Amino acid sequence: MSELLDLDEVHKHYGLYHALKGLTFRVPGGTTGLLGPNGAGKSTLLKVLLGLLPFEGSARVFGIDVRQRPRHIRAKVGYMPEKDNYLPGMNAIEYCAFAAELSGLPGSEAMSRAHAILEFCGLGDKRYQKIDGYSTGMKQRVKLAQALVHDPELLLLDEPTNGLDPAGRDEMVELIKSLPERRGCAILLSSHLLPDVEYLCERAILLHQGEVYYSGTIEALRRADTEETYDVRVKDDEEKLARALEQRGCKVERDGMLLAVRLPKDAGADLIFVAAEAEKVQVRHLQARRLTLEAAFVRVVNEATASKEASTARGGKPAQGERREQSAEEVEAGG
Amino acid sequence: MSIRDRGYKPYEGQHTPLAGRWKVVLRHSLRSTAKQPWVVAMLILAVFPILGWGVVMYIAAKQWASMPLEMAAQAGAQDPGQYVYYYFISWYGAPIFAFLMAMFAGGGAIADDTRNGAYQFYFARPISREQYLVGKVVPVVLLVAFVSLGPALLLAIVRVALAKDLADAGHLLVGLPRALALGTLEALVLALPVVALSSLSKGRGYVQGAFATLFMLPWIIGGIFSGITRNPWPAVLSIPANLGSIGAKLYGIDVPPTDYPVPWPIALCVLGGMMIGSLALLRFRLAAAEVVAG
Repeated sequence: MSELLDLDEVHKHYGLYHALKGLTFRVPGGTTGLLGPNGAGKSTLLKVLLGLLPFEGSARVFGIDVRQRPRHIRAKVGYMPEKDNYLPGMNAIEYCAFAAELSGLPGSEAMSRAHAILEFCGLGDKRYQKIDGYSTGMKQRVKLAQALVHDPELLLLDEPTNGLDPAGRDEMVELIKSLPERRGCAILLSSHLLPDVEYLCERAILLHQGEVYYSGTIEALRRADTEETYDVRVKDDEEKLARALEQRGCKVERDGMLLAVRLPKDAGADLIFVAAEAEKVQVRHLQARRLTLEAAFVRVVNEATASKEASTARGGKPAQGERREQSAEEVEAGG
Repeated sequence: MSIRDRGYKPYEGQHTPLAGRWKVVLRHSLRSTAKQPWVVAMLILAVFPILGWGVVMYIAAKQWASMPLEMAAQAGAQDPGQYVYYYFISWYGAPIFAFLMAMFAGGGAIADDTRNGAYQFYFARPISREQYLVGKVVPVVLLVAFVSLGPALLLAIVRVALAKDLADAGHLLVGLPRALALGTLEALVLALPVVALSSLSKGRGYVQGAFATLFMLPWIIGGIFSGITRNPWPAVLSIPANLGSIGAKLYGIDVPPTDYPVPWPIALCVLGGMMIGSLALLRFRLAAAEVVAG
């Protein structure tokens, strides 16, 4: 079975500007977050995946070569853009039916699907209203509806919660969360809102300055290099335990009553209990520390940047995202 | 979260062929353009002149039929079939309505899509730029043809219907392809530039203003300066003047030299250049259309 996305050494130049620098990654399916600051190359990557830009290298979506059959790929993809893309003077039903027809559904089927998808997106009772008069939240929903109406196998969502109030954002996030199960489509979600990505996605692709800094599961990204750090709370005298742990080679950071204990290499969590027992300190709380996606994002970018600078100083080839992916997979495999 | 999709089933039927998607764009563009108030007004108003031209044609054809050919030739009378040509070139005939229709129908053809970010809607789907272009240009051509070619064909048919006899009718049938050729040329030469201008702006008002300038300035100012300078070149960019020259050639009409007609090969080159230039501009603008806004 072919991968959902399979990119190999994809380069894109805009004149002298090197927008994508040898992107190589694979996505098997599911929900994937596309992360990166402005100018990272996310939009260029989406254009490449939709077959809208010439590029160097090899890119396949659903196993189809993007360069050879871009329209076949676009027929199977639904795209929800960040900015408004509605046609003036149309109501939601006309708009979605038109979208479905453009994607290849026959007229009558397009109309019935338009009704169904607007119901699904929570616009059933507003479907005959002109879109021009919709609120921001309703416009976001109708954008999602037009992307879904033709039953795409892959949904590209570009900042789907942009401009929504907290309640609207929660509803949109829940709606997106339900899509793979209820519509059977894979999702590639481009967003700056890391909590949304963390909640919705199993995998992430981290782009920075046109390079893939990480591609793999979010779980592995958060665990990478941090699984030996534990948050510890004790009944009293945390200072005594901290000293004992430091004597055993641990690095301990104190945050009030909380100790962040980083174990030495190859040591297990039992070391903390051994030290506590020796010092007669009662451990009340012990939890492996997990990075938030945001912290993991910052760490990966910092590490990759430092590695690149070091390589450049040595005159070698800068480290690429593939390395990050490998380390993450190793962590994943090692549990 | 409530369950909203009751009984959802993915579509498993046949999809329409990729090559035919331009028809979907065309149908939608035609429907939305024909709903615009000014376009509807033009469609209605264009009926009145054709009624007038029809009545004049009827009377002239009846007189012509009752007059022996030799007498008509001596009197310098023209076959009323040539009225179709005059309908195409007179300011109280097709040009004004065709111009206004092109301006109203074509002004927003692409400008409205640019303003509303609709490129993202179209081009993220299996639609090529060429299909989009056909879907946007053809409705404008059809609407312009409706107020210029349509009435002209009607006049040509009326002329055939008022023939003296079957032999005369057979002879007059040539008026139909002539009207078709001149009307199609007029529709294309008005529709393509206005749609091309529409790709340059987000505001249909600017497009309409630019198109009105492109059409009116060479026609009026060029016409005046041709008269003053006594040569055709000031009007060489005038769409009506060039159509007039080509029409005269098509209908075999000798235009008096005092009208300073643009030589028909030059006229054909100018109009051809306008159409090719418009198509090139459209292709260039659409190739640069931003689909995924960064």
